[in-house]
Amino acid sequence: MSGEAGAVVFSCPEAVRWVEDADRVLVVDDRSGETHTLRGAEAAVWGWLTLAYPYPKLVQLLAALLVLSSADAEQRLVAILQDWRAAGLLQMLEPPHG
Amino acid sequence: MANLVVAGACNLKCVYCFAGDHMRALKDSAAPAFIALEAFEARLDFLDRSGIDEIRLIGGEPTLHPHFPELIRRARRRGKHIVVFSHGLLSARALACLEALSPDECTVLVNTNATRFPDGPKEEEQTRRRATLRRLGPRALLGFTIYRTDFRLDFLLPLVIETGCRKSIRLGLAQPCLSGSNVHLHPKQYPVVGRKIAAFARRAAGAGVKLEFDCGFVRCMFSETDLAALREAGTDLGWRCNPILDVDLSGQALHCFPLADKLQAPLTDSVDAASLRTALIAQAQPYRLAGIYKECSTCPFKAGGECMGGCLAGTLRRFRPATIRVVVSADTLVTAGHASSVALAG
Repeated sequence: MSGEAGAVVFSCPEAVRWVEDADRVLVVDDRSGETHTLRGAEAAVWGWLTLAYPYPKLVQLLAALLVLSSADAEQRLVAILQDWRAAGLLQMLEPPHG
Repeated sequence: MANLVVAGACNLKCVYCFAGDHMRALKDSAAPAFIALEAFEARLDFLDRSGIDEIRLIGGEPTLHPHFPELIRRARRRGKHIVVFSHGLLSARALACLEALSPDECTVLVNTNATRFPDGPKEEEQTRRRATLRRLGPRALLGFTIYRTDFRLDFLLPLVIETGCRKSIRLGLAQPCLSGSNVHLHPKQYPVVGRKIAAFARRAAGAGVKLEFDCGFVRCMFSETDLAALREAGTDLGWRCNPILDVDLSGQALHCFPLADKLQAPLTDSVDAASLRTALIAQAQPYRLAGIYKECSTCPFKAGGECMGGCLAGTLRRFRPATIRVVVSADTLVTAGHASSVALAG
């Protein structure tokens, strides 16, 4: 469950379920009954995450999608992940100690 | 409207049965297979305080209840119109008790392709069903569950004429249990099914027989030409998926059998059908944005409320658990200005 030393692992709670529609990704949190509609870059990131793309690849793809520098894309990606964590769609796992 | 489960047993084995999972779970829980008379009275109380004048008996096979005539008698004493959902292979006693009611007092919806055989009903079953339908006459409404694309409906027309049952046929699409354990139609098969239904509707209209749709049909399964033909044939069209209110033997009100494990609300002594329906609609709401197809999200008929987007169980089966795991270095979070996240994690 823990990630590599010095790393933070984001994962999805079991109660979160999703479906890909023609123009969006719908994510439902069974615990709260909340529905989250993801479009555009957010939908793309979610799709890449479900394909288990590693972090560096996510940055690369997002930079290409939004025509951003790597640094800007990374900042955007981290913001998306943090927003999802705040919304309960992602949880942060404890990093290893020591 | 509310369907009351009075029997958790059935002596047939329809491969498309969407009640199977729930019935097996009840059986495993050692719950009684048939509703007790006292509990049935409580169900009647529920219908009374809900202002419902009709009692809809389902199962399993409701006519298998050992006190089926007594259930009917008690329901009639409360002035209820009786609706029985049956496979039509009734015992002599059950048939006699329904025959004693007038067509105004009783409707028996007979599932004409219910069977104990995996490949479809055998002649022996159809012969017996025909005999039942002759005796029920105008009390009977024929039903057919479409669970494969090579279905045939034409045998129903002479059956309606010969037996004197109602000049209406109720069509159902075999919907999936959430587990997918039953045989069911895939939404990809709906257009093929739709064309055949429209063609049959034209022939049925020629015999003075109309079609009516059960829940789960979607508007896009019919071309505009076929829709026009259906309307001209007097078809009772509907693109519905709403809480049925199936009240099971344990006193739970289910959204419907396919969603028995997911959406349910307890039937208490004070609750009525409207409040149960409201509760179940609220439970279903998170998933209602979606439909059985990806394209439901951009469909004007769904957006406009004309079509519900198909069976909710079918919709829910599209949802997947989100097996996401991404590793981000703590340095990255700090650099991106999210040091607080690292602090929380630490």
